[in-house]
Amino acid sequence: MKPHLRPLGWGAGKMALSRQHDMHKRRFSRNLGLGVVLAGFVVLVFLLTVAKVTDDGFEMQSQQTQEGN
Amino acid sequence: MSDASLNNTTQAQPYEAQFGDYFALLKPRVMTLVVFTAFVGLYAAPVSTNPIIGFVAILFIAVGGGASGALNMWWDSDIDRIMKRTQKRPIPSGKVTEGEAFAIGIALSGFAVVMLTLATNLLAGALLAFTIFFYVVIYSMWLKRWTPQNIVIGGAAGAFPPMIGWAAATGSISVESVLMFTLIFMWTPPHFWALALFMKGDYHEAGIPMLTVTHGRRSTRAHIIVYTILLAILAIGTAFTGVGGPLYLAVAIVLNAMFVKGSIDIWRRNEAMAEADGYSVEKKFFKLSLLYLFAHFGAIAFEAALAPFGLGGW
Repeated sequence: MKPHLRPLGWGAGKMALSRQHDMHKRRFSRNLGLGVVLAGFVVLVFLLTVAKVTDDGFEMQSQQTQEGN
Repeated sequence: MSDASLNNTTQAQPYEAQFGDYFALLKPRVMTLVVFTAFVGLYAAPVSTNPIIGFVAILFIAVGGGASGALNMWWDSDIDRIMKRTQKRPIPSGKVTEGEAFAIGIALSGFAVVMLTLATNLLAGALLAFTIFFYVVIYSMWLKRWTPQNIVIGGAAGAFPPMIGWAAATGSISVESVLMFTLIFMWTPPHFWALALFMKGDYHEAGIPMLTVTHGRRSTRAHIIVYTILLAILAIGTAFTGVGGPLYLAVAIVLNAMFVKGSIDIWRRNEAMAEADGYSVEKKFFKLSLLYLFAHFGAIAFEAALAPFGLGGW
């Protein structure tokens, strides 16, 4: 798709700010980076939970709790 | 702020940092050392660790190390603007503000300590918290601008990662993990003093009391050789402990011979000789010091990797 290049501001003495301004690239990089980090963290917590609950020590603790009751 | 409002600001727009600028606050190159040595500490420990828990532990040790780097950049932004070596860091170059660096550093520090504690154990989390405190408060805020022994004592901060990795796996501190700590602790002074010799004016202009500034360059050269000899004794002695073995011993003998020779070469030179060849010997020693540390910890990891086949260790 052809990129939309129409400047947003046309007033005399005002800066023409196209959609491809460098600031937008930096902002996109920041948003993308944060998104990837957050998604990675969700996956990490899930994997960590699986690792913890399948651990032998975890089963022993739950058995102890049952015995206590 | 909307895009339309920016049209009215024709000058002095604040720079909007991209993701890489924030990532640079975490000192990625230092982080590679932290990741590697923490991994070796965890891997060489005499217990098996779930790979996912091991990965999470290394990741959050690295995040904690990176967070302390961000806090160091926040505190040292004034001198980073003066020193050539640090002028391109995110704060001096105007890409990230001091406040942002502080917020990221504090948030990631707490986050990393909590996550490491939950993933492994309280001792590992407490050691990580102490490492961050030591690097930011003891080294950056206190020692660095006060004493020429800044690097000697402050080097402890960079020496903790293998100990934290070991603690994450075993839940304890042992002779082996203390030896790995001491190896990095003793390696740090000659490594940084070699750097201080060829980054001539930087520390002087910034008013940092490095040994080169307070005691002179001749004395620094003498200090390098003394610390290198002590380091060599320690590094070769480590070969005969639980984390050592024949392979480690071979690597240690070769590299320590090269390192001691390098320190003697530095000691025999004066400033006129060094300036004449652009500090080539000092730069070579600095590069060798990087190889030195990676090779020693690589050999410890190899010994641990060979252990299941009955080949590692003595």
